[in-house]
Amino acid sequence: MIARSIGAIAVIAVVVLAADPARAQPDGSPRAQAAAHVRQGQAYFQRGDFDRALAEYQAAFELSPEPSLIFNVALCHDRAGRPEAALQAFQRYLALAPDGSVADEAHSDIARLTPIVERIVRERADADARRRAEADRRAEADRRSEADRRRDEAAASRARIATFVIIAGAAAAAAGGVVHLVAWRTRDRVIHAPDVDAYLADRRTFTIERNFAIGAYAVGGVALATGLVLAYTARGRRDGAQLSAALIPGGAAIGVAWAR
Amino acid sequence: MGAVRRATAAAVPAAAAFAAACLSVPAYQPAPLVSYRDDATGSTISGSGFELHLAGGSDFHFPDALSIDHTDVMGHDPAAACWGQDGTGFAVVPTPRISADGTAPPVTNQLTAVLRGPAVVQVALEWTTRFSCGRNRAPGGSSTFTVFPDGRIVRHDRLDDPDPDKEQIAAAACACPDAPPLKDAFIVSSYWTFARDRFTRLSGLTAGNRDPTNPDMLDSSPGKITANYPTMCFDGGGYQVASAWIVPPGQGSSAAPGPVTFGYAALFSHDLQKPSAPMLDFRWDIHGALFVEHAGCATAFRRALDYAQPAQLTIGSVAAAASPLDGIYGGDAGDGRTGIDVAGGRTTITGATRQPFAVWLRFPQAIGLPHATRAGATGAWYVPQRIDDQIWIVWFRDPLADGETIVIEPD
Repeated sequence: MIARSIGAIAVIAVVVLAADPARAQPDGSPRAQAAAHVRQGQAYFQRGDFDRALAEYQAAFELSPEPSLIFNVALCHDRAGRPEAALQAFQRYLALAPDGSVADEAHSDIARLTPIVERIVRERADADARRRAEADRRAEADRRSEADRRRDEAAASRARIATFVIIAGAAAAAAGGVVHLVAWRTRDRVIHAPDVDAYLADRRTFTIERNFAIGAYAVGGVALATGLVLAYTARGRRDGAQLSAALIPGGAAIGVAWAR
Repeated sequence: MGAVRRATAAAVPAAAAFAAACLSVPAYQPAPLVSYRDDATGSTISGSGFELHLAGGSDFHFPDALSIDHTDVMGHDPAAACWGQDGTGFAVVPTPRISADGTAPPVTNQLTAVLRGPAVVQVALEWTTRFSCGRNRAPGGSSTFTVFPDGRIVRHDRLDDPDPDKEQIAAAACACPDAPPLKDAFIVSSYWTFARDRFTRLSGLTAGNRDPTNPDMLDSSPGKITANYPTMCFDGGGYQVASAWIVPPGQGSSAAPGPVTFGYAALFSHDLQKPSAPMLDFRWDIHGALFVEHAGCATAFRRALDYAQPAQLTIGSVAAAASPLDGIYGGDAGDGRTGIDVAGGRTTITGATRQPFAVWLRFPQAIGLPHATRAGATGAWYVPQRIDDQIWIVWFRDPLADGETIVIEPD
């Protein structure tokens, strides 16, 4: 194959250089310059310096758009291990000169290179897909990491709020309990009031104390429940919220605890 | 862990219920001045220094003991004649008496505590019996006993015979075996008896004598019968009992009821009896009162006279006297209606009484507690008693003087 290509280059070079053998071109003419590039390209090609050869052929083509120079460009790419560029150049050659002198070789090379390029394209696509997947995975990991960080920050904030709310709720409930005990004693006086006036006076006091206790219990209960919910939502995966309740004289106590 | 959660889940509502119970507003429950309770031997109405016991079991649930300072002063004679008076009840001489210890058979015998204190207790006994000689007759009656903290026991008796013409019965055919040889006539009476050995002196006021300091001293030796003393005082030294029967108009005529005191071997009786009649006419509506006293018969007589002629009060715009049937201002007017309407939810009481008194009020809407004010009055000078949210009886410990006003309004 390589030998055939080299042969083709030689033929093409002859065509370029002897396109008009009867009238030698002046050295400064484009055609003469193109011929010089072709010759230089051939020299490089034979030495295996395909990139420089490619540059010479392209320079020659710009000066003299001879399709066979594209064929040479394709050979350079092929030899340089760039099958996609080679295939593209062979196809361009055939597009410019479907019946060109090396059209059969071009067809042959295209047939040879097409599965190779397809494989390369497929592999590149696969690689691109893998890269994208990896990029996506990393982006997702970064996003999750950021979300976790934000969630942890939010959880920590909720935990601080929960602690405050629970302490406030416990304080309110405790105040309710204290007033409840006081109200309990007042209630005993109400029950044993010696007369109506004493009953009414003690009942008024008891009502005030009772309402305060109920209000404190309500506020404390809501705060404790809110704090518990906040604490529960702020806990780590291994945390376990524990709720316990106990009867005490005059009321109930609710305790909340969670440990890491 | 599950058990702990269940226990916790159960503890929370239990604690809430406990806390809620502790936080409920207790109703006004003063120490009762008079109270009612059922016991193994019947039921007991208790006041300060006295108790009235009503018989239980299958006996007629009439009073069978009146204790003053833990001493039963009611008359009990184990050898009492079948037709004679003993305990408390009705005599239908010469047939068996209707009392807790009588031999008349109860057919129906229902005691109901209508008012249970803390200021007024009232029990109502509905009963019927049957005569051995006239089984088609179904005589019966009702007696209410209304008891106040000051030892006043107001009694209202109604006797009825739904179909008195269904079977005519003659006294001779119905007489107890030990009945005395009386004319063939019935004598119906409502009576109280008192133990002879608990009292040393008897005195009485006739209808024409209203001087409590100058009663007639009476001879009540066994077999002695004394008539025309509607108000009597039985003096036991440290305590006294006054008995008053309200004699219906027409006293003195042969057809009118009259008060009589009997001296039996072991007891005295004070009754109000219908004139004797050859055919049994059982219908009867009469009332009277007992007064437990520790300050002497003059005081007891005053109370009895005040019961017989109660002072009139003005309650709101209503001029009212205490009902003689239950002793309460606004009490039973004889037609079953009770309560003085309190217009606008607030009322005043003016007038003068010589005794503690109770007022039965009907408020236009539910109230929590009636609150009374009276110049200078403090402490437990009045006690409200709830009938329902709108109807209350209020007991006033002290008499009301001219010029004084009591204001009653919802708390």
